[in-house]
Amino acid sequence: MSTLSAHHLSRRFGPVAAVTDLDLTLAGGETFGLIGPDGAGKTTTLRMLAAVLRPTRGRAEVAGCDIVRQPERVRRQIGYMPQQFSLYGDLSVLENLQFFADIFGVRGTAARQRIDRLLQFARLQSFIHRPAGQLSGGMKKKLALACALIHQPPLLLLDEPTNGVDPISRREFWEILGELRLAGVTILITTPYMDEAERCDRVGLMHQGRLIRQDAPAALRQLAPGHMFALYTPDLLAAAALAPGLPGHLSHQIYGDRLHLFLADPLPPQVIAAYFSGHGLRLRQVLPDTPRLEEAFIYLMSTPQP
Amino acid sequence: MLVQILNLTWKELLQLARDRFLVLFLILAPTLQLVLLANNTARGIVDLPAAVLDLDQSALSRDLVLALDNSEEMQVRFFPPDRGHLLALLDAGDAQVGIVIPPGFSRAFFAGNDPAQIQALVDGSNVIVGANARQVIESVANQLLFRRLRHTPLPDMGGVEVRTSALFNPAFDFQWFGIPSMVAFITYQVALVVAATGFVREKELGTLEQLLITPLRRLELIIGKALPAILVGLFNFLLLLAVQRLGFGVPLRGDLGLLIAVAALFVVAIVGQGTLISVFTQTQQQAVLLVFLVAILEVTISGYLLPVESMPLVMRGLAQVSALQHFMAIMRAVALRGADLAMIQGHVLAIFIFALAAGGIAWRGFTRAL
Repeated sequence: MSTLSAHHLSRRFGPVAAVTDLDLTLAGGETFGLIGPDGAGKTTTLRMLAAVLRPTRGRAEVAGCDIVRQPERVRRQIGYMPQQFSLYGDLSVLENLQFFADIFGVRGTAARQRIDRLLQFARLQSFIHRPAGQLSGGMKKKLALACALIHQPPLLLLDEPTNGVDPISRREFWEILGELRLAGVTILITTPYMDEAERCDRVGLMHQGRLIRQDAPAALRQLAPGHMFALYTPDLLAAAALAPGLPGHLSHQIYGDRLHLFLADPLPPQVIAAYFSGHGLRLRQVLPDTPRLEEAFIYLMSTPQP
Repeated sequence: MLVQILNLTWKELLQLARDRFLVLFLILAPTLQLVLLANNTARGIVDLPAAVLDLDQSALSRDLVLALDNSEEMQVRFFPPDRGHLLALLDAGDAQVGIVIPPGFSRAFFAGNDPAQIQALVDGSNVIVGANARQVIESVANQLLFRRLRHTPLPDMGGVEVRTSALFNPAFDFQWFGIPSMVAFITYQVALVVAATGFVREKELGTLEQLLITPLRRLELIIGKALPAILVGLFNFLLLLAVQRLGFGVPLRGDLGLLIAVAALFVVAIVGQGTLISVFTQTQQQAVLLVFLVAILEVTISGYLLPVESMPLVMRGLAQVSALQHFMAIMRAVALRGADLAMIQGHVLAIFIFALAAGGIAWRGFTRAL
């Protein structure tokens, strides 16, 4: 049985179609990453699935409960972490957890044990009396996650949970998510980071309110057309200017210290090197490379969808 | 249901207690406000500085100056040598009243053909002071002249003397009227501002979103948020009522239980109004500005500054839908006139309808906004 299923889920805000005809099915225990540019409709999708926002069309079921007809039952089944910090800054870490335990009807010894475990889990034991507003960015996110987990939901909806968090906290956060995956929790996460998308079982790309493609990261990577080469040179701009002259040139992109080339044919690297050297470019290296999710998505977003 | 509401209310009170300044503000400020306002407005106008230019220099004119100085409202501080100096004193604001007794004042008085005249120059930029000064001068002059007349051989004309007997407030003490009104207003103000910032604060912080995804029902949420504001408002009312009775000695002739019950209804109505503001605003700043606007309007039509019966038709209509106006009337009626429920039922009904309407609109706005 699927944990979550949405059919033609749509939401309009006046004239703006924020989400259109979204079809999505999540199997139990799966981690699904929703990515896409700002304004693509990711947050709207999550809010509808959390039964906070009514869809204008379509339907969705979460753990067998209809999001429109049984919003309260849906909310008991999910843990939702909104994008912005939304705990009580003037209450302590412990008080925040206690409040959400109360509201979710977790009481007595069960509540104490669960709070203890979550504090340990989120590495927040030594900060229990600190006001939540005075925690660091990463700790705030971990506390928010702990609060979202207080009622042990089988499904987690996380809206850009690692946005604005330092790399170490980000890794720690994903370690925590890893433990949850092992425990069988289904996770729907939105993220602007491609490396995080790579960690998901499946990834969906949202663009202008539509879920245009969903698949395993490895399969999505193959969608970028042509063959990719990485060109290392100190004169990146000159190399970029020369690139369109290559036979079978599809596209190119400056990426950090190198130039990514997409060519229609699998040319030998020596041929490519010879072309650039022939135009007087100082070359360090040309290597065949495998495209990453980013290239696949840039390609998908620039291609008109049927 | 009840448990969920109490969970939320407990959280609210916990947050409130965390904010030391706010606690102080909610307990100390209203009491302080009441004490200061009451002491300040109770005395009315006293010791207005006056300047007198006596160009007559007669026995009668000197008596008049003395009588003015002896009045409670006025104090003759300056005797300028001429009109120019008198005007300068008024210009500078040193004197707020100038009195010119023209030459021949005494003669004209005893000749008895035309009324004897004195000129009073009052500061028209403060109408209250001006009007009061005129009244005082008139009455002091008339009393003096009346006394003088009795000693002259002219026929005694008697005149009319009004003897007022103030029912319910024999000493005609301004505080007995002012303090119950102020207690109502301060209670109003505190309950309104606490309720008005309730939801909008959670909106601003983003915590409303988090509350919405909990199993809390909408009704539990709105009641759970309203309850702390109601408690704070009612607590304040009781505190202020104690100050009114014990601190200022304003009698409480009606039933205490009835007054508290009606006050609770009033606080509920005002919290409904505040919640309404909170639901339809996006920031705490907007909410507080709106509270100011509403509060100023409410005071104007509450009957505190001007009796409702003397207002223009539109304002009288507005006053009928003002819960504050009705509650102020109830406060005075129960405290001073010892009114029972039957005598105030019209006011109570009005507040009840107000509470239903405000709560209903807030509820509708809240559920539709999502």
